[in-house]
Amino acid sequence: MATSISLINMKGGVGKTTLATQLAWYATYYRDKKVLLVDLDPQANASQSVMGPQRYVKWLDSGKPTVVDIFEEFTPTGSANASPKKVDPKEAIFQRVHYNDGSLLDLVPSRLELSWSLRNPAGKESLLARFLAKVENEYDVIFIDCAPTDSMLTDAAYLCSRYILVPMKAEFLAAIGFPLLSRSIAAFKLRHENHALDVAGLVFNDVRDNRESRHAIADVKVNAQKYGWHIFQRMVQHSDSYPRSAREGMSINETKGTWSTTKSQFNEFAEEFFVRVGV
Amino acid sequence: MKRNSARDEYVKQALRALVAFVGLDAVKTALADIEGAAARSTTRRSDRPAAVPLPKAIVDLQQNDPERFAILRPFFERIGAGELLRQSEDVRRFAEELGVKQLSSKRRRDLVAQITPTLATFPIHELAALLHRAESISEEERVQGYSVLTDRILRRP
Repeated sequence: MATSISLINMKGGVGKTTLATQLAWYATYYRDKKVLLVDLDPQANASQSVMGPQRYVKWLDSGKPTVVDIFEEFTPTGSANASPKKVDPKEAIFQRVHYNDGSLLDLVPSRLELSWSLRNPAGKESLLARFLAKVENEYDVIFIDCAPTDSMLTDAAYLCSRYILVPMKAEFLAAIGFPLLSRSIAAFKLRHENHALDVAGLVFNDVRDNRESRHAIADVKVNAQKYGWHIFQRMVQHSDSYPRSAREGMSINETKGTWSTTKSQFNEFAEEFFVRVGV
Repeated sequence: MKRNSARDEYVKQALRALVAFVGLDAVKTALADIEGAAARSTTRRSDRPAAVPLPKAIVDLQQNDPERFAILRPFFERIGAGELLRQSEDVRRFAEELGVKQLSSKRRRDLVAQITPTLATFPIHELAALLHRAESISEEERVQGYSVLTDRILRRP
């Protein structure tokens, strides 16, 4: 059975997609895992990066199912294709790479129309978990890249997840995102007492060495002690190679021109993370 | 061929926009400068992929597996001539198609050597489709990504 991890933060621009895709690559490439990445953000950046623009557009143009169809499976009018249709898990999963050693990276793509599902969200939050239950035995790890909202999509992610990873920027406003998320998780746990869901921890992402960063990190650490939040020891430092690796649709370790310190810093965080969640 | 015509059309569109913005004379002058500079400089080393000789594992196929040899020889000859998989990056991407991981060099020639054993044993009925995929792996394909997405999002044909 796969270990499912959602990357969530109510604040946008903290690097959820970057870390979700990079951790997915790392698990596949260096830990030889079978990995499924679920893009649960209407902006579909994880899909565009992992598939590459050409294959992503081809996927949409050919009418293949996306995560939207999973949420609209039982909607009489549907949304993406204007008709309800049972989603075949095999049809909705894009096979990005299958290595000869058995490790692989697959993706459930997203599309902009996912935001339509939020207009009529009643009863849809369990549909993703239902979908993943059909395929989880084929994977070791499932990453879910979430949209920066507290909505039906967040509940859907909670219902699929064993752990939550919270990327955070070392900035004052970004740091406020976690108390909001913490409250959202507490509310979810009240409603779903039997669902095991834990915050694996907070990771500082896109960190620059300046006074504001240090101040924000110190603030969060004080509150982490007070409320018992786990903060990953390794931080992910700022690097221009991350946007380049998103463009190239590759792991940071394989992205041309990436400094070795950038690679090793990310790899150390990835190792710390996978040990923490027992993968 | 199709890709070239798409590229030509793109260049024409960009030039039309430029002419509309700065005027024809300014564009002509700039083009003449660029042309002159290009003629003066020799081809940069990075523009010319280093030649890759036909790998021994492929040469050996001539005796052992002539059918596979007939498919792979032109493929490797085109790689060797720098017509296919022109950059290391391209070879890495093609290695993914083959399921080969942990490539250990930055040099194109070494990377080609690392994918050769897998190609030499790849299921023959899947080879044609696989080699066809190599045709579309290029720097040009990667740089067009933003336009491809923009056109799709804005619903241009």
